[in-house]
Amino acid sequence: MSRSIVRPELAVRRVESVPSGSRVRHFDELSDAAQDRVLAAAEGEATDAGPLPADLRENEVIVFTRLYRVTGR
Amino acid sequence: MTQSFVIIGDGIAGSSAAETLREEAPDADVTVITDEGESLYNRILIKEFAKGKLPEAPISIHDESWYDERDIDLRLNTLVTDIDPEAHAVETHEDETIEYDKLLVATGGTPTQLPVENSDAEGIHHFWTFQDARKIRESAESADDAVIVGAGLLGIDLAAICGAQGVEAKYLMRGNAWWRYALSESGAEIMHDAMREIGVEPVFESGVDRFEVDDGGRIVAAVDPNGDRYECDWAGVAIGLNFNTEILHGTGVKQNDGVVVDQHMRTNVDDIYAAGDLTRFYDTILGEYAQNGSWGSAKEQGTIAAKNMVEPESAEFRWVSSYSITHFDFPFLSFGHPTIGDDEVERKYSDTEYRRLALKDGKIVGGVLIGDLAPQSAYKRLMREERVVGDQKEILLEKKFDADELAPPQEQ
Repeated sequence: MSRSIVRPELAVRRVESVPSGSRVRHFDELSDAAQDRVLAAAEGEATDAGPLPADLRENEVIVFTRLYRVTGR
Repeated sequence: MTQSFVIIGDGIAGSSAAETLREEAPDADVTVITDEGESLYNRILIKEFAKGKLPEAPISIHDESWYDERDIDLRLNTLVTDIDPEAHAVETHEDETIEYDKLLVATGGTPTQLPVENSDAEGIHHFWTFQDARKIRESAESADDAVIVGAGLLGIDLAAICGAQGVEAKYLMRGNAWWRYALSESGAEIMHDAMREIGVEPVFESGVDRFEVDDGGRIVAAVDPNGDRYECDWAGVAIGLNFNTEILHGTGVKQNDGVVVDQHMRTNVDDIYAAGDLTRFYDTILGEYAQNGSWGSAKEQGTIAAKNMVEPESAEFRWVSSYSITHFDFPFLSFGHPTIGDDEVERKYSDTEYRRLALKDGKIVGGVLIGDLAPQSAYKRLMREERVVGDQKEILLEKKFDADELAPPQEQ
Protein backbone atom coordinates (compact mmCIF):
# COMPACT_ATOMS: atom_id res chain seq x y z
CA MET A 1 0.00 0.00 0.00
CA SER A 2 1.45 3.37 -0.96
CA ARG A 3 1.95 6.09 1.63
CA SER A 4 1.77 9.81 1.27
CA ILE A 5 3.84 12.29 3.19
CA VAL A 6 3.69 16.04 3.22
CA ARG A 7 6.54 17.50 1.19
CA PRO A 8 5.20 20.87 0.06
CA GLU A 9 8.56 21.89 -1.33
CA LEU A 10 8.26 19.37 -4.19
CA ALA A 11 6.08 19.28 -7.28
CA VAL A 12 5.70 17.27 -10.49
CA ARG A 13 6.42 19.32 -13.60
CA ARG A 14 6.75 18.60 -17.30
CA VAL A 15 10.25 18.75 -18.76
CA GLU A 16 11.54 18.44 -22.33
CA SER A 17 14.58 16.28 -21.68
CA VAL A 18 16.26 14.10 -19.07
CA PRO A 19 18.93 16.01 -17.13
CA SER A 20 22.23 14.14 -17.07
CA GLY A 21 22.55 11.81 -14.10
CA SER A 22 18.85 11.82 -13.28
CA ARG A 23 17.17 8.69 -12.06
CA VAL A 24 14.51 7.71 -14.61
CA ARG A 25 11.48 5.55 -14.01
CA HIS A 26 8.45 4.63 -16.06
CA PHE A 27 4.88 5.43 -15.00
CA ASP A 28 4.28 1.68 -14.47
CA GLU A 29 6.83 1.57 -11.63
CA LEU A 30 4.88 4.04 -9.51
CA SER A 31 2.34 3.48 -6.77
CA ASP A 32 -1.30 4.27 -7.58
CA ALA A 33 -1.00 7.53 -5.64
CA ALA A 34 2.13 8.57 -7.53
CA GLN A 35 0.49 7.64 -10.83
CA ASP A 36 -2.46 9.86 -9.92
CA ARG A 37 -0.06 12.75 -9.25
CA VAL A 38 1.59 12.33 -12.65
CA LEU A 39 -1.83 12.09 -14.30
CA ALA A 40 -2.81 15.35 -12.65
CA ALA A 41 0.38 16.98 -13.95
CA ALA A 42 -0.35 15.65 -17.44
CA GLU A 43 -3.86 17.11 -17.29
CA GLY A 44 -2.40 20.46 -16.29
CA GLU A 45 -4.11 20.36 -12.93
CA ALA A 46 -2.54 22.07 -9.94
CA THR A 47 0.10 19.64 -8.73
CA ASP A 48 1.72 21.68 -6.01
CA ALA A 49 -1.05 21.11 -3.47
CA GLY A 50 -1.43 18.13 -1.19
CA PRO A 51 0.99 15.50 -0.01
CA LEU A 52 3.41 14.02 -2.49
CA PRO A 53 3.43 10.20 -2.56
CA ALA A 54 6.38 8.75 -0.72
CA ASP A 55 7.72 6.81 -3.69
CA LEU A 56 8.38 9.95 -5.75
CA ARG A 57 11.94 11.20 -5.25
CA GLU A 58 13.27 14.66 -5.84
CA ASN A 59 14.87 15.17 -9.26
CA GLU A 60 13.78 11.86 -10.70
CA VAL A 61 12.20 11.86 -14.14
CA ILE A 62 9.03 9.91 -14.91
CA VAL A 63 8.40 8.65 -18.42
CA PHE A 64 4.72 9.00 -19.30
CA THR A 65 3.25 10.35 -22.56
CA ARG A 66 5.73 13.17 -21.90
CA LEU A 67 8.57 13.51 -19.40
CA TYR A 68 7.80 14.71 -15.88
CA ARG A 69 10.30 15.66 -13.21
CA VAL A 70 9.89 15.82 -9.46
CA THR A 71 11.35 19.23 -8.66
CA GLY A 72 11.64 21.81 -5.95
CA ARG A 73 9.38 24.82 -6.38
CA MET B 1 23.90 -22.21 11.37
CA THR B 2 23.76 -19.64 8.58
CA GLN B 3 20.85 -20.02 6.18
CA SER B 4 21.60 -20.22 2.49
CA PHE B 5 19.26 -18.72 -0.12
CA VAL B 6 19.84 -19.21 -3.83
CA ILE B 7 18.00 -17.24 -6.50
CA ILE B 8 18.11 -18.21 -10.16
CA GLY B 9 17.44 -15.11 -12.27
CA ASP B 10 18.34 -11.46 -11.82
CA GLY B 11 15.30 -9.82 -13.34
CA ILE B 12 13.07 -7.68 -11.20
CA ALA B 13 11.56 -10.72 -9.41
CA GLY B 14 14.93 -12.23 -8.50
CA SER B 15 16.47 -8.92 -7.61
CA SER B 16 13.61 -7.75 -5.39
CA ALA B 17 13.78 -11.14 -3.66
CA ALA B 18 17.51 -10.73 -3.03
CA GLU B 19 16.98 -7.28 -1.58
CA THR B 20 14.18 -8.51 0.67
CA LEU B 21 16.15 -11.55 1.82
CA ARG B 22 19.02 -9.33 2.87
CA GLU B 23 16.62 -7.11 4.83
CA GLU B 24 14.77 -10.01 6.46
CA ALA B 25 17.78 -12.25 7.10
CA PRO B 26 20.83 -10.02 7.58
CA ASP B 27 23.20 -12.91 8.31
CA ALA B 28 22.10 -15.31 5.59
CA ASP B 29 24.09 -16.28 2.51
CA VAL B 30 22.33 -14.92 -0.57
CA THR B 31 23.44 -15.99 -4.04
CA VAL B 32 21.95 -14.69 -7.32
CA ILE B 33 22.74 -16.66 -10.46
CA THR B 34 21.98 -15.33 -13.95
CA ASP B 35 22.97 -16.41 -17.43
CA GLU B 36 22.80 -12.80 -18.58
CA GLY B 37 25.99 -10.79 -18.75
CA GLU B 38 24.64 -7.70 -17.03
CA SER B 39 22.93 -7.13 -13.72
CA LEU B 40 19.41 -5.81 -13.24
CA TYR B 41 18.28 -3.22 -15.74
CA ASN B 42 14.96 -1.54 -16.29
CA ARG B 43 13.08 -3.76 -18.70
CA ILE B 44 10.22 -1.26 -18.93
CA LEU B 45 12.53 1.48 -20.19
CA ILE B 46 14.40 -0.46 -22.87
CA LYS B 47 11.65 0.51 -25.33
CA GLU B 48 12.50 4.16 -24.72
CA PHE B 49 16.15 3.36 -25.41
CA ALA B 50 15.21 1.56 -28.64
CA LYS B 51 13.09 4.56 -29.67
CA GLY B 52 16.16 6.73 -29.26
CA LYS B 53 14.54 8.72 -26.45
CA LEU B 54 16.84 7.62 -23.63
CA PRO B 55 20.57 6.88 -23.43
CA GLU B 56 21.90 3.65 -21.92
CA ALA B 57 22.85 4.99 -18.51
CA PRO B 58 19.43 5.44 -16.86
CA ILE B 59 18.35 1.95 -17.98
CA SER B 60 20.71 0.25 -15.54
CA ILE B 61 19.24 -0.20 -12.07
CA HIS B 62 21.92 -2.12 -10.20
CA ASP B 63 25.60 -2.17 -10.96
CA GLU B 64 27.74 -4.89 -9.43
CA SER B 65 28.63 -2.72 -6.45
CA TRP B 66 24.97 -2.81 -5.37
CA TYR B 67 25.35 -6.54 -4.74
CA ASP B 68 28.74 -6.12 -3.06
CA GLU B 69 27.39 -3.52 -0.67
CA ARG B 70 24.67 -5.93 0.41
CA ASP B 71 26.95 -8.94 0.56
CA ILE B 72 24.95 -10.66 -2.16
CA ASP B 73 26.96 -13.10 -4.26
CA LEU B 74 26.09 -12.25 -7.90
CA ARG B 75 27.10 -14.81 -10.53
CA LEU B 76 26.79 -13.33 -14.03
CA ASN B 77 27.07 -15.45 -17.20
CA THR B 78 26.31 -18.54 -15.15
CA LEU B 79 23.86 -21.14 -16.34
CA VAL B 80 22.18 -23.49 -13.88
CA THR B 81 22.13 -26.91 -15.49
CA ASP B 82 20.51 -29.00 -12.78
CA ILE B 83 18.48 -28.74 -9.59
CA ASP B 84 18.60 -31.59 -7.10
CA PRO B 85 15.72 -31.10 -4.63
CA GLU B 86 16.82 -34.06 -2.48
CA ALA B 87 20.35 -32.74 -2.03
CA HIS B 88 19.11 -29.15 -1.89
CA ALA B 89 21.72 -28.14 -4.47
CA VAL B 90 22.02 -26.60 -7.91
CA GLU B 91 24.74 -27.31 -10.42
CA THR B 92 26.14 -24.74 -12.86
CA HIS B 93 27.56 -25.13 -16.37
CA GLU B 94 31.02 -24.99 -14.82
CA ASP B 95 30.20 -28.06 -12.69
CA GLU B 96 30.03 -26.02 -9.54
CA THR B 97 27.60 -27.23 -6.91
CA ILE B 98 25.84 -24.62 -4.78
CA GLU B 99 23.76 -25.84 -1.85
CA TYR B 100 20.62 -24.08 -0.69
CA ASP B 101 18.20 -24.15 2.18
CA LYS B 102 15.59 -22.34 0.09
CA LEU B 103 15.64 -21.87 -3.68
CA LEU B 104 13.82 -19.26 -5.77
CA VAL B 105 13.34 -19.84 -9.49
CA ALA B 106 12.84 -16.52 -11.26
CA THR B 107 14.14 -17.33 -14.71
CA GLY B 108 11.39 -15.57 -16.69
CA GLY B 109 10.88 -16.42 -20.31
CA THR B 110 12.30 -16.33 -23.80
CA PRO B 111 10.40 -14.83 -26.75
CA THR B 112 8.51 -17.32 -28.84
CA GLN B 113 9.80 -17.72 -32.37
CA LEU B 114 7.28 -17.72 -35.21
CA PRO B 115 6.93 -21.28 -36.51
CA VAL B 116 7.48 -20.25 -40.13
CA GLU B 117 10.20 -20.50 -42.77
CA ASN B 118 13.27 -18.29 -42.14
CA SER B 119 12.02 -17.10 -38.77
CA ASP B 120 15.60 -17.10 -37.48
CA ALA B 121 16.96 -15.00 -40.35
CA GLU B 122 19.26 -12.07 -39.75
CA GLY B 123 17.24 -8.89 -39.26
CA ILE B 124 14.35 -10.59 -37.47
CA HIS B 125 14.26 -9.29 -33.91
CA HIS B 126 12.49 -10.35 -30.78
CA PHE B 127 12.15 -7.77 -28.06
CA TRP B 128 12.88 -8.88 -24.53
CA THR B 129 16.38 -8.07 -23.27
CA PHE B 130 18.49 -4.93 -23.25
CA GLN B 131 20.68 -6.59 -25.85
CA ASP B 132 17.59 -7.07 -28.05
CA ALA B 133 16.84 -3.36 -27.65
CA ARG B 134 20.36 -2.40 -28.72
CA LYS B 135 20.08 -4.50 -31.88
CA ILE B 136 16.62 -3.15 -32.68
CA ARG B 137 17.76 0.43 -32.23
CA GLU B 138 20.71 -0.18 -34.52
CA SER B 139 18.46 -1.75 -37.17
CA ALA B 140 15.80 0.93 -36.89
CA GLU B 141 18.25 3.81 -37.17
CA SER B 142 19.37 2.63 -40.61
CA ALA B 143 16.07 1.29 -41.96
CA ASP B 144 13.30 2.60 -44.18
CA ASP B 145 10.74 -0.20 -43.88
CA ALA B 146 9.84 -2.77 -41.25
CA VAL B 147 7.27 -5.44 -40.51
CA ILE B 148 5.81 -5.95 -37.03
CA VAL B 149 4.11 -9.16 -35.88
CA GLY B 150 2.21 -9.70 -32.63
CA ALA B 151 -0.96 -7.75 -31.91
CA GLY B 152 -0.45 -7.32 -28.19
CA LEU B 153 1.20 -5.18 -25.54
CA LEU B 154 4.77 -6.00 -26.65
CA GLY B 155 4.11 -5.75 -30.36
CA ILE B 156 2.87 -2.20 -30.06
CA ASP B 157 6.22 -1.24 -28.51
CA LEU B 158 7.89 -2.35 -31.73
CA ALA B 159 5.40 -0.27 -33.69
CA ALA B 160 6.21 2.74 -31.53
CA ILE B 161 9.94 2.22 -32.06
CA CYS B 162 9.35 2.34 -35.81
CA GLY B 163 7.34 5.52 -35.44
CA ALA B 164 9.97 7.21 -33.28
CA GLN B 165 12.82 6.19 -35.59
CA GLY B 166 11.04 7.29 -38.77
CA VAL B 167 10.63 3.76 -40.09
CA GLU B 168 7.51 3.03 -42.14
CA ALA B 169 6.03 -0.25 -40.95
CA LYS B 170 3.32 -2.74 -41.73
CA TYR B 171 1.82 -4.20 -38.56
CA LEU B 172 0.54 -7.64 -39.56
CA MET B 173 -2.30 -8.90 -37.35
CA ARG B 174 -4.13 -12.21 -37.58
CA GLY B 175 -7.48 -10.80 -36.49
CA ASN B 176 -9.45 -7.67 -37.18
CA ALA B 177 -8.09 -5.54 -34.32
CA TRP B 178 -5.11 -4.95 -32.07
CA TRP B 179 -5.34 -6.84 -28.72
CA ARG B 180 -8.77 -8.15 -29.66
CA TYR B 181 -9.02 -10.25 -26.50
CA ALA B 182 -9.07 -7.20 -24.25
CA LEU B 183 -10.85 -4.47 -26.15
CA SER B 184 -13.51 -4.16 -28.80
CA GLU B 185 -12.96 -2.97 -32.37
CA SER B 186 -14.33 0.38 -31.28
CA GLY B 187 -11.63 0.78 -28.65
CA ALA B 188 -8.92 -0.75 -30.80
CA GLU B 189 -9.67 1.76 -33.55
CA ILE B 190 -8.24 4.50 -31.33
CA MET B 191 -4.97 2.58 -31.20
CA HIS B 192 -5.06 1.89 -34.96
CA ASP B 193 -5.44 5.61 -35.68
CA ALA B 194 -2.50 6.36 -33.38
CA MET B 195 -0.36 3.81 -35.21
CA ARG B 196 -1.24 5.34 -38.59
CA GLU B 197 -0.30 8.78 -37.34
CA ILE B 198 3.26 7.62 -36.65
CA GLY B 199 3.61 5.81 -39.98
CA VAL B 200 2.66 2.29 -38.91
CA GLU B 201 -0.11 0.72 -41.00
CA PRO B 202 -2.17 -2.03 -39.33
CA VAL B 203 -2.88 -4.91 -41.73
CA PHE B 204 -5.79 -7.05 -40.55
CA GLU B 205 -6.65 -10.72 -41.25
CA SER B 206 -2.96 -11.15 -42.06
CA GLY B 207 0.05 -12.56 -40.17
CA VAL B 208 3.15 -14.28 -41.52
CA ASP B 209 3.27 -17.37 -43.69
CA ARG B 210 7.03 -17.09 -44.33
CA PHE B 211 9.92 -14.68 -44.43
CA GLU B 212 12.01 -14.22 -47.58
CA VAL B 213 15.77 -13.73 -47.31
CA ASP B 214 18.60 -12.61 -49.62
CA ASP B 215 21.66 -14.67 -50.53
CA GLY B 216 23.31 -13.65 -47.27
CA GLY B 217 20.39 -14.94 -45.22
CA ARG B 218 19.06 -11.52 -44.33
CA ILE B 219 15.35 -10.79 -44.30
CA VAL B 220 13.99 -8.91 -47.32
CA ALA B 221 10.24 -9.48 -46.98
CA ALA B 222 7.38 -11.07 -45.08
CA VAL B 223 4.66 -12.93 -46.94
CA ASP B 224 1.29 -13.28 -45.24
CA PRO B 225 -1.14 -16.21 -45.55
CA ASN B 226 -3.07 -14.29 -48.22
CA GLY B 227 0.04 -14.23 -50.40
CA ASP B 228 0.60 -10.51 -49.91
CA ARG B 229 4.29 -9.60 -49.75
CA TYR B 230 5.71 -6.84 -47.58
CA GLU B 231 9.28 -5.78 -48.23
CA CYS B 232 11.22 -4.75 -45.15
CA ASP B 233 14.70 -4.00 -43.84
CA TRP B 234 13.94 -5.72 -40.54
CA ALA B 235 11.07 -7.39 -38.73
CA GLY B 236 10.00 -7.32 -35.10
CA VAL B 237 8.22 -10.34 -33.65
CA ALA B 238 6.41 -10.32 -30.29
CA ILE B 239 3.99 -13.23 -30.15
CA GLY B 240 4.55 -14.41 -26.60
CA LEU B 241 6.97 -16.01 -24.18
CA ASN B 242 8.22 -19.52 -23.61
CA PHE B 243 8.92 -19.89 -19.91
CA ASN B 244 12.47 -20.81 -18.98
CA THR B 245 11.62 -23.94 -17.04
CA GLU B 246 14.05 -26.47 -18.56
CA ILE B 247 16.04 -26.59 -15.33
CA LEU B 248 12.96 -27.81 -13.46
CA HIS B 249 12.87 -30.99 -15.52
CA GLY B 250 13.04 -33.96 -13.18
CA THR B 251 12.50 -31.91 -10.03
CA GLY B 252 8.83 -32.77 -9.64
CA VAL B 253 7.85 -29.11 -9.62
CA LYS B 254 4.31 -28.90 -10.96
CA GLN B 255 3.80 -26.92 -14.16
CA ASN B 256 0.64 -25.96 -16.01
CA ASP B 257 1.56 -23.43 -18.68
CA GLY B 258 3.80 -21.88 -16.05
CA VAL B 259 5.19 -22.91 -12.68
CA VAL B 260 2.29 -23.48 -10.29
CA VAL B 261 2.68 -21.65 -6.98
CA ASP B 262 0.33 -20.82 -4.15
CA GLN B 263 -0.30 -17.32 -2.80
CA HIS B 264 3.00 -17.63 -0.90
CA MET B 265 4.93 -18.24 -4.16
CA ARG B 266 5.64 -21.77 -3.00
CA THR B 267 5.79 -24.66 -5.47
CA ASN B 268 4.65 -28.18 -4.63
CA VAL B 269 8.28 -29.21 -3.92
CA ASP B 270 9.67 -28.47 -0.48
CA ASP B 271 11.88 -25.38 -0.25
CA ILE B 272 11.50 -24.40 -3.91
CA TYR B 273 9.72 -21.13 -4.66
CA ALA B 274 9.07 -19.32 -7.93
CA ALA B 275 8.33 -15.70 -8.84
CA GLY B 276 7.89 -13.47 -11.86
CA ASP B 277 6.65 -14.00 -15.39
CA LEU B 278 6.91 -17.78 -15.31
CA THR B 279 4.44 -18.39 -12.47
CA ARG B 280 0.83 -19.51 -12.52
CA PHE B 281 -0.05 -18.20 -9.10
CA TYR B 282 -3.09 -18.50 -6.89
CA ASP B 283 -4.78 -15.12 -7.18
CA THR B 284 -6.56 -14.46 -3.90
CA ILE B 285 -8.66 -11.70 -5.49
CA LEU B 286 -9.94 -13.85 -8.35
CA GLY B 287 -10.09 -17.01 -6.26
CA GLU B 288 -8.40 -18.96 -9.03
CA TYR B 289 -4.98 -19.43 -10.61
CA ALA B 290 -3.78 -16.65 -12.88
CA GLN B 291 -0.78 -15.28 -14.73
CA ASN B 292 0.66 -11.84 -15.14
CA GLY B 293 3.75 -10.49 -16.85
CA SER B 294 3.87 -6.95 -15.53
CA TRP B 295 6.92 -5.41 -13.88
CA GLY B 296 5.06 -4.50 -10.69
CA SER B 297 3.62 -7.98 -10.31
CA ALA B 298 7.03 -9.61 -10.74
CA LYS B 299 8.60 -7.25 -8.24
CA GLU B 300 5.92 -7.94 -5.66
CA GLN B 301 6.11 -11.70 -6.24
CA GLY B 302 9.86 -11.59 -5.60
CA THR B 303 9.31 -9.70 -2.37
CA ILE B 304 6.56 -12.03 -1.18
CA ALA B 305 8.57 -15.14 -2.06
CA ALA B 306 11.56 -13.85 -0.10
CA LYS B 307 9.49 -13.13 3.01
CA ASN B 308 8.08 -16.64 2.91
CA MET B 309 11.51 -18.17 2.31
CA VAL B 310 12.61 -16.61 5.58
CA GLU B 311 9.35 -17.13 7.49
CA PRO B 312 6.94 -19.59 5.81
CA GLU B 313 3.39 -18.29 5.16
CA SER B 314 4.26 -14.87 6.56
CA ALA B 315 3.16 -12.98 3.44
CA GLU B 316 0.51 -13.41 0.75
CA PHE B 317 0.53 -12.21 -2.85
CA ARG B 318 -2.49 -10.00 -3.40
CA TRP B 319 -1.97 -7.61 -6.24
CA VAL B 320 -3.82 -5.68 -8.93
CA SER B 321 -1.38 -5.30 -11.77
CA SER B 322 -1.34 -2.54 -14.34
CA TYR B 323 0.45 -1.90 -17.59
CA SER B 324 0.47 1.32 -19.54
CA ILE B 325 1.31 2.37 -23.08
CA THR B 326 2.74 5.87 -23.17
CA HIS B 327 3.96 6.10 -26.76
CA PHE B 328 1.19 8.28 -28.12
CA ASP B 329 -0.32 11.68 -27.32
CA PHE B 330 -2.91 9.95 -25.16
CA PRO B 331 -2.21 7.28 -22.52
CA PHE B 332 -3.45 3.69 -22.43
CA LEU B 333 -3.66 1.55 -19.29
CA SER B 334 -4.79 -2.00 -18.71
CA PHE B 335 -5.19 -3.38 -15.21
CA GLY B 336 -6.04 -6.71 -13.62
CA HIS B 337 -7.13 -9.38 -16.04
CA PRO B 338 -9.05 -7.64 -18.85
CA THR B 339 -9.18 -10.75 -21.05
CA ILE B 340 -11.26 -12.84 -18.65
CA GLY B 341 -14.66 -12.49 -16.95
CA ASP B 342 -18.31 -13.36 -17.58
CA ASP B 343 -19.56 -9.82 -18.21
CA GLU B 344 -18.27 -6.53 -19.52
CA VAL B 345 -19.13 -2.88 -19.99
CA GLU B 346 -17.55 -0.42 -22.36
CA ARG B 347 -17.98 3.08 -23.67
CA LYS B 348 -16.24 5.28 -26.19
CA TYR B 349 -16.27 8.91 -25.09
CA SER B 350 -14.40 10.47 -28.02
CA ASP B 351 -11.90 9.63 -30.75
CA THR B 352 -9.22 9.27 -28.07
CA GLU B 353 -11.18 8.20 -24.98
CA TYR B 354 -12.49 4.74 -24.23
CA ARG B 355 -13.11 2.52 -21.25
CA ARG B 356 -13.88 -1.17 -20.87
CA LEU B 357 -14.31 -3.11 -17.65
CA ALA B 358 -14.31 -6.90 -17.37
CA LEU B 359 -16.45 -8.34 -14.58
CA LYS B 360 -16.84 -11.75 -13.01
CA ASP B 361 -19.62 -12.56 -10.58
CA GLY B 362 -20.43 -8.85 -10.56
CA LYS B 363 -16.90 -7.86 -9.50
CA ILE B 364 -14.36 -5.94 -11.55
CA VAL B 365 -11.53 -8.28 -12.57
CA GLY B 366 -9.77 -6.06 -15.08
CA GLY B 367 -10.13 -3.23 -17.52
CA VAL B 368 -8.70 -1.02 -20.21
CA LEU B 369 -8.67 2.78 -20.11
CA ILE B 370 -7.66 4.90 -23.08
CA GLY B 371 -7.23 8.66 -22.96
CA ASP B 372 -8.50 9.51 -19.52
CA LEU B 373 -6.82 7.40 -16.83
CA ALA B 374 -8.24 9.39 -13.92
CA PRO B 375 -10.50 6.55 -12.65
CA GLN B 376 -7.71 3.97 -12.64
CA SER B 377 -6.95 3.92 -8.94
CA ALA B 378 -10.67 3.84 -8.03
CA TYR B 379 -11.28 0.85 -10.32
CA LYS B 380 -8.23 -0.94 -8.93
CA ARG B 381 -9.44 -0.32 -5.41
CA LEU B 382 -12.88 -1.77 -6.21
CA MET B 383 -11.17 -4.82 -7.66
CA ARG B 384 -8.88 -5.19 -4.65
CA GLU B 385 -11.87 -4.89 -2.30
CA GLU B 386 -13.86 -7.41 -4.41
CA ARG B 387 -16.86 -5.06 -4.41
CA VAL B 388 -19.95 -6.34 -6.24
CA VAL B 389 -20.72 -3.51 -8.67
CA GLY B 390 -21.99 -5.31 -11.76
CA ASP B 391 -25.50 -3.96 -11.16
CA GLN B 392 -24.26 -0.34 -11.32
CA LYS B 393 -22.73 -0.22 -14.77
CA GLU B 394 -24.01 3.25 -15.64
CA ILE B 395 -22.27 4.74 -12.63
CA LEU B 396 -19.09 2.81 -13.43
CA LEU B 397 -18.99 4.29 -16.91
CA GLU B 398 -19.77 7.88 -16.02
CA LYS B 399 -17.10 10.08 -17.54
CA LYS B 400 -16.25 11.59 -14.18
CA PHE B 401 -16.54 8.33 -12.24
CA ASP B 402 -16.94 8.81 -8.51
CA ALA B 403 -16.80 5.63 -6.42
CA ASP B 404 -18.77 7.40 -3.68
CA GLU B 405 -21.83 7.35 -5.97
CA LEU B 406 -21.91 3.56 -5.90
CA ALA B 407 -24.36 1.90 -3.54
CA PRO B 408 -22.67 0.98 -0.25
CA PRO B 409 -21.07 -2.47 -0.21
CA GLN B 410 -23.33 -5.25 1.07
CA GLU B 411 -22.28 -7.20 4.12
CA GLN B 412 -21.02 -10.62 3.01
